[in-house]
Amino acid sequence: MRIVLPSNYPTGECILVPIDTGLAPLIAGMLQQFTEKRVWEQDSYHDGYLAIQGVIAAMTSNCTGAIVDELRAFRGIKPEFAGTPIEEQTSDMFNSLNDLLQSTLALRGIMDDGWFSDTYTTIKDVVQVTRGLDQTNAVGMWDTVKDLIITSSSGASILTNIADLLSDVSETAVEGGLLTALIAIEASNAAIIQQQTLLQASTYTTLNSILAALRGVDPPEDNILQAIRGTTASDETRNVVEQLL
Amino acid sequence: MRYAVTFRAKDSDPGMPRSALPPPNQARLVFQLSSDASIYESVLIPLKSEWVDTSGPLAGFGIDITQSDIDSLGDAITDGLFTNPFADDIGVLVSAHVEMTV
Repeated sequence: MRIVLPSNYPTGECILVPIDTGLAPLIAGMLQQFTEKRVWEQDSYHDGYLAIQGVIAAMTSNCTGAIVDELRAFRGIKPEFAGTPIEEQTSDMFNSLNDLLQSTLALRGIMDDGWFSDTYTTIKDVVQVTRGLDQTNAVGMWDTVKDLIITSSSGASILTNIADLLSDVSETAVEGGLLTALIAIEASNAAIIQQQTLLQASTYTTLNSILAALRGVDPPEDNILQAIRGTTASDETRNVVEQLL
Repeated sequence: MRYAVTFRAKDSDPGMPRSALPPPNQARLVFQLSSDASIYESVLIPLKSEWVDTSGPLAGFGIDITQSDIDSLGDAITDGLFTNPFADDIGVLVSAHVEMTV
């Protein structure tokens, strides 16, 4: 009976058959008979022959080794075996999925104090820290800062509020609280500068009032020194004191 | 009238049954076709043991096609007028392995 190539060939699907390389020459030799014309039905010979040649060509593709290499590259070798020659590396020298998962979990960490003293830190937590916020312990801290800026009328009151804020964040929000405190201090500085500006304006107004009382509302065209000495300017042989004497 | 003649024969050299001989190993060289690199043709040749890989995942089975003997033969087949049974020109040598014929 001659071989008829299956009507559904090629199916597009394949199977992976592990063959020990010690047995591979024998298995490869068994394919030889399927390259002979006499075993095929006439209509199947052409495609059947090429199909078997394809299988023969695949005998050296070592797909299992390639897959193992790909898997090991994906797993990554453990640091302590990084110097092991490739031909001496074994499966247990590579990370398992559990190792990779554990190393990822270890990235979270638990702090000794502050927000994360009793829970693992997440990336979301880190972002919240940079914002100076913590959903559990310090929600609304930004509102506190805003109130400091809007309602505090003096540097002293702002500093008092900052002290209270620092006392609060040391208990609940150390990391983000420091950022918040810096922002509050900046707000305090701005308020102090504003108060100094107002004070300078007030002083200027007061001085103008004193001068006006002394000289009258309109400023004199000359100055006090000119009024004392007359229009002749003093020189090295003549000065105001001598004239007065 | 009919005669019947009977001979008794004894083989002086019984020889070795074929099944007891170690099957000869050969080298199969695998080529791509010039017209289509996804289609292959292969050629069986006598094997020299020194061609066989001695290390790596294909040790004992694979053949290093960069060796001078294999490389020269491969080039000769590629450059020559060799075809597969369907007159498709044989292209470049891509692999080789040991084959045990039975």
